[in-house]
Amino acid sequence: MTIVIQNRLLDGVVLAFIKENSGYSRGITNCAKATFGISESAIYPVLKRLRENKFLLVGTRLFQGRSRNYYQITASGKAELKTIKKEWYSFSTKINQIMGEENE
Amino acid sequence: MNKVIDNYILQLKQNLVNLPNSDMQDVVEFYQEFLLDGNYHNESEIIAELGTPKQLARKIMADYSVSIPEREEAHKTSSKSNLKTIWVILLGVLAAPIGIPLALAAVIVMVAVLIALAAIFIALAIIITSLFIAGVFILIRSFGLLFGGYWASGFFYVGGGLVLICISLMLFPVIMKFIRFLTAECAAFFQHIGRKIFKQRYYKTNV
Repeated sequence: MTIVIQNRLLDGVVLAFIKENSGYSRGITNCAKATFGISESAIYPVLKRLRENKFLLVGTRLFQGRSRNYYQITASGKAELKTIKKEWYSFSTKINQIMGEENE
Repeated sequence: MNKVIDNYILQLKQNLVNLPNSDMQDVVEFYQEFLLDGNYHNESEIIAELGTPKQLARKIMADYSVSIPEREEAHKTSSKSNLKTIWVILLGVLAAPIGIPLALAAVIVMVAVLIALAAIFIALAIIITSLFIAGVFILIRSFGLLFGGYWASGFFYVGGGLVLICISLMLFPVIMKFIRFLTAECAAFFQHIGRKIFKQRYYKTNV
């Protein structure tokens, strides 16, 4: 079984993860891998796009003697996440209504 | 710092040839951090995760070349860099993990388009050079006629030869433009296919 994940959904997932959890890229890629089986090479363009659209800010923090990039969600990033969430809820509710319960 | 990771990153850099400097730094930093945070100790672990530096570089470059805005851009850039784009995307699709549906079909289509493109180039080149050579040949022959006393037909051949040479010279810029146009269209087409392949993320379950 295969479902294609849209870029917009990926944006939403990454924004939500950074908002709720850590902003280290390793954490983000691990999460994407664990939940969707998506590789880090797919996450890099997502992070780049979100940064270019100013939905994320990058800072550096010292960690074990080296600097490590840290992503933070911006105000416009939070607004974007809200819109994506809204879109997803209305979309998934419609699908669920039509398809019904899992084991029906 | 970890020697194995340094080595891998160095090789990755060497294989990332066509990226602008700032993008290169950015992407290298991303993978460097990914590896450092992952605490890898030997090369086979890294390769199991990311592939060889060469494979990863191809993936990155292909990703990059499909992210450039398509058509207008392709027509503005030179044929040489368009051909490079085509090449990079082809390598990227080849480096894509097997199991991506359509990847094989896409490779076959791409190769077919490339062969057709090359055939058109060669055919046009042959047309233009044969016109030119025929013109020069007729011109040379006409001198024999001119000085051999047949001045009327000699002049006829001089004219004919000059006309052929002129046609080939006039056709040259037209054909160059046409070739530029074709490569740009091809690059745009390849980007389109590449985008279809690279931008699809699949959610797979074992059900």
